[in-house]
Amino acid sequence: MSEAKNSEIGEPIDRPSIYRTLLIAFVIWSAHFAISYAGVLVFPDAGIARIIAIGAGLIAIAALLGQVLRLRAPRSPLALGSLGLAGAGVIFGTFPAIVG
Amino acid sequence: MRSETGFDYSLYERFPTEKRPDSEVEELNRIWRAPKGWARLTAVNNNYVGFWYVVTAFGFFLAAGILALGMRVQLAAPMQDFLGVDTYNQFFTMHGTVMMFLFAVPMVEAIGIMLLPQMLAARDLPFPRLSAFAFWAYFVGGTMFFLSLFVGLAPDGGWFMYPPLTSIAFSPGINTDFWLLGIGFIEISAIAGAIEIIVGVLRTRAPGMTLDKMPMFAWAMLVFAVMIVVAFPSVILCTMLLEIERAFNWPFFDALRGGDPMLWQHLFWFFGHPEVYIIFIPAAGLMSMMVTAVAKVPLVGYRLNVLALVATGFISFGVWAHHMFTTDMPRVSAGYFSAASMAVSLPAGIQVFCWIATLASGKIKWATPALFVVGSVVIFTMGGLTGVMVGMVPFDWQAHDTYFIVAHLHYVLMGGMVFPMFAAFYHWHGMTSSRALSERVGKWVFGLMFAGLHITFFPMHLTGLMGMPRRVYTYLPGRDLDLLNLVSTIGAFVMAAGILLFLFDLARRFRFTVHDDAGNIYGGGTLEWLPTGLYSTRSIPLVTSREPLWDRPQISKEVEEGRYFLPNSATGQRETLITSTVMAEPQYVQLMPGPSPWPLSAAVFTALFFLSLTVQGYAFAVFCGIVAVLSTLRWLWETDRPIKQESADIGGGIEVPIAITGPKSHGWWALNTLMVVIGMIGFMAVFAYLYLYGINPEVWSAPPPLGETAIIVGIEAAALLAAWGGRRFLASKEGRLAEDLPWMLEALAATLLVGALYLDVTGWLATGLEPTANGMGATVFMLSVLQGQVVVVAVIMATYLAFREARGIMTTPTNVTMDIVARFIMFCALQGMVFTFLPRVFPGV
Amino acid sequence: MVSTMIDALWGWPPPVLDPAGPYSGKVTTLAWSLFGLGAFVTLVVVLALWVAIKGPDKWKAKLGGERAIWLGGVAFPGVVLTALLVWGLTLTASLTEPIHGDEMRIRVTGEMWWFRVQYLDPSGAVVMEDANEIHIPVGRPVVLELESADVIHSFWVPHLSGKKDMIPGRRTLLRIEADRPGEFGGVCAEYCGRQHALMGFVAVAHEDDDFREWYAERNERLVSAGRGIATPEEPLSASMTVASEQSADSRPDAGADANSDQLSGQQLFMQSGCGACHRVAGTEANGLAGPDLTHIGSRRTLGAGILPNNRGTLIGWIGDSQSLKPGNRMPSYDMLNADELEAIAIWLEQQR
Repeated sequence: MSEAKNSEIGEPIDRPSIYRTLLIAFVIWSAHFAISYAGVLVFPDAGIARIIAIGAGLIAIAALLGQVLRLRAPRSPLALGSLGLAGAGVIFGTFPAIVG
Repeated sequence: MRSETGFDYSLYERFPTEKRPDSEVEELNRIWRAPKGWARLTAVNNNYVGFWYVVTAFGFFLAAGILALGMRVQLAAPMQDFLGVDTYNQFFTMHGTVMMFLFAVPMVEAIGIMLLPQMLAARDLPFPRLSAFAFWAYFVGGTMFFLSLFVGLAPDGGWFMYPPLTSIAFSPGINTDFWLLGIGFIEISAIAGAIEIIVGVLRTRAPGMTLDKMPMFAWAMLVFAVMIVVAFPSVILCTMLLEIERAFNWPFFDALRGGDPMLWQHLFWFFGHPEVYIIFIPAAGLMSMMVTAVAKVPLVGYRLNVLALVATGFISFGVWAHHMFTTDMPRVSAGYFSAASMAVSLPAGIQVFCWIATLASGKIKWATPALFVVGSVVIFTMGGLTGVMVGMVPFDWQAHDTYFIVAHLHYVLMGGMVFPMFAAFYHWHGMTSSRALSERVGKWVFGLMFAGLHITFFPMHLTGLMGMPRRVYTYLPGRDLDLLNLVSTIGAFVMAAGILLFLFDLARRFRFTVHDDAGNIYGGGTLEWLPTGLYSTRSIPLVTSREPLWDRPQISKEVEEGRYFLPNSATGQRETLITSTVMAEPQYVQLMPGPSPWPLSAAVFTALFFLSLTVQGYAFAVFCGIVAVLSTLRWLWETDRPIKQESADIGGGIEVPIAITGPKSHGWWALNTLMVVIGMIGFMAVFAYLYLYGINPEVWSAPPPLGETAIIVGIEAAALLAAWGGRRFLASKEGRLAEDLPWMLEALAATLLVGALYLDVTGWLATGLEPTANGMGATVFMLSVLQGQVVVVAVIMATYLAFREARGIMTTPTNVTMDIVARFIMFCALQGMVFTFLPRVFPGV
Repeated sequence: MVSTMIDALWGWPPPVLDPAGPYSGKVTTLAWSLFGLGAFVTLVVVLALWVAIKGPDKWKAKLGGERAIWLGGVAFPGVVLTALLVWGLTLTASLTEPIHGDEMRIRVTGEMWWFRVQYLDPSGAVVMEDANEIHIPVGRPVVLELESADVIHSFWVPHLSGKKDMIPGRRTLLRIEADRPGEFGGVCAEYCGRQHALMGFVAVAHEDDDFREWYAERNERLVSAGRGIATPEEPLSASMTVASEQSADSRPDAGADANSDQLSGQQLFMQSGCGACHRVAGTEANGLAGPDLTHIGSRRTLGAGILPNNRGTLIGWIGDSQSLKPGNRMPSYDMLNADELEAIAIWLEQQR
């Protein structure tokens, strides 16, 4: 079987916990992006847009961490990777509100 | 293993079964035979449609490439007059437009149509006539659009056609309309293809091919198709808006009347950026499969690669305004798009390292596909790096709209799609040609193209930094640009030489065949390499790994002997097996249509409809539109017929139903996808309304009274109820054919929606608002236009339903037509409620 | 006499990498870092490919696992991209500081296919008009108010800063500052129709004293044309107003007595209808559709940055601009004979 040849670890994608986690991670990222962008569209020059983005960022990170905790051990590297990649996206997307 | 549908996995142990009789093969051949002569144009089988699609797309690639050669000759030296200014502006616009709309997306869609069913061991795509329609609309429309060049009427506003340059004041000719209406049918084509691919990938895989074992190309095409469904509506809307502005003077983009040119840019780029990932992702999927075959080991990091595809799909929707960094967006906003642009390169890096890791794990066979694959990785990496550079706002402020961007985009598109495409041609041509292409010539093709690419496009990084803007028909002497441009021109001809060599070899050796192909030249391990005929594989194998042909070499013989699923035709018609979404458990047998002239007719007349509108032949346009609609209805008329046989033996004694309705049916999924498309168009229209309000609130006037709003929403709610009731009522009529009430309820619903729309529009007009007055008028009445479009479709559907009932072919308690009509009209009612409610309540001035 | 050929404004080294001011200098630093990074990563990928294909087995094994994918595809890029993003965001912030209100302001309006230039005083009133050329003092930030009269254009002088679009219905702001004197080429950088390719301008940076002198000269000219008083020391805060139409008798101080050449040049200019599109302060010519010609004699270029400005090119432009820049909004005056064209050109040369 080709799976044995691979040094592939973790659970297959067809497990609901895996593919759902994959989708949820990026839905969270999308929600953060949408809220941050909507904030600056509605309040273009005000600092409140930054607050919205940072707030949304914190909530998004919390949601992603929540998903991590929901995974049962041993946690699939793919699921963790999805949450991590989405998390990186959220953090990147919050920098402009802090630094920019 | 946990079952998704309740399927008993022990049944799989029955396979492979005993060898099946050869008469079954003869019957399959008869059922799947393509018509002869001119009637072959009515074929709907993916072997034909896919092949025609690929050839047409490649033809457009060559045509647009020739335009580029013309452009490069013009730019080889300063102040030349080889192409006059107007011709050049048409050339560069068409080069971009044809490459992006008529080549890149159709090509990857075409490769999908050709290869996906084979990779999934499905007999065909789930809606063969839909793909035939998509192809013919594209072929006729695309060709006529391209011919506009020969009469000097080609669009000349750049491939992204920014207003106000493309508004009627500055582009009075019909060139711009050619683009706007010409692209219309391409969009229809793309969406039709996307619907097929989503349903195909999720529902027609071979049993046992779980999501974890699906070929990477299938994953890529799934992401591709979903992205099309979400992104294309935006460009559909903005092309509609610009055409309406030009034709009827509704000021969406006119700053003097409360519109905004930036609205176009947002709508266009919300589509335009995902578009380039739409182009790249399928090619990346092909790369993953070719890397596997080249290295002769399974893909390292398969699951990571899937993660990368999904991540790219999502994040690419968050970067669009990086094309707009030099406008006056607030810097926090620019920051968000810059951040997402950084983030989106992470999954791309994952893919590149997956490929490298796979190559490192195996033993590489240095044939032509391997050369193109490795070349792609290098070129794409370089392009991706310049992409990171221009994702940084301050650097983009220097590089934007210069030849640096031209360099970047060609590196990513050629490295990310064109080179993988050539690799794929070499890798897979054995499936469809009776003779193999020459390896020796192939190496030369690669060498010339690879060298030519760098010679052409690398100097453009420099010319951009030296201040040469994009889209210039000439440049001034004494700016040190001469030599660099000349080098680029020479490189373009080197690349052209490579492509010419490829064409020469193609002409010499490629001979289209379905039965007698050159075979698995490069030793791939996935299911498209099973022996096939027009019926695809003789039997649909049970899949237990990602490279079935490597892990079970005898599978080819077993499949040919009919020792797996569906070794025959259970009903005497064309069929394929529908399996469950995640675990690919067999669910039912789907009957597939055979050759039909109706998709061809509908497509041709749809294309002619759009083109007549462009040249303002309105009477002819109406005629073509009617014929197109009638052809479509005639096509649909043949579907959803009662079948006497209720279930079929799909092999090993397993019985499944023949076609079903409801959420498990694939027609259900197709409608859902269509509703997402229409919903996204509506969503973007609402965005346009809110956006213009945000920019120019001073032009907003008072809405009609709330009482009137409540009445109209009430009527729409009643329509919703009626539509729901029609289906519900049908469902209770078990055993007998449906009577009049179901269709009458749908007709009532459609009528109520017409009435609601009428009241809505007249209500707004009574407040003194006109669509030509200002941005508010334009966007409010645009919502009515969109609602009007779906209401017209609802009326046609209700009428169609009535005819079907009159003919006695509406089965109970459920049938697909009823499902679709009812749910569509419910959707219309919901959309109507939102469109009525929102502008009347917000801002509620 | 015009001293500089356009060639010196462009060419090698690439202007983006040859900054002449703080707003471009910081970006050049970023650019070099990005190029270095790009070269490095390309090299790494090429090497990795080489190892994957031909390398020793031990190295191939390291490269062939999922760990390599995490390291090369996620960890390394993640770190680098984070650093870059933070750099980019902070740099963007420093390049877009809020406008103080006391910077010199110039309004540039993109037209098809030239740049209208208007120098403003602190209250925003127009004090001087020009076209296709801007003059700024070294060492002081200048705020450009960018607008468009028709379609979207873009203002770009790479030596001094990144570009900014000129969007109809909006006013966008761009800061530029030169830290050394010189002449810097600029172009329109957004496709704006037929002659987008030939739409350029020149930015001239003067040392502070030179700038005041230049401004004063121009001012004198305007003063003698009856356009108000200004003191050379404080030209920008002076209460200058744009005077209305002058009497037909006033003449620009051209440094020479009214002689038959000059008069006939001016007369021809008026008779040919040039005044319908062009304005020359102190004459009846008051058209606003085309570039202001009050100072055309001192401009470095003609036709929006595409030709050097000398008598020959002036004649060529007036006589046959449609051949030089087909489709531009000025018709070719080929009905004028060589002497007439020369007379007009001589007169225009004197409008400094």
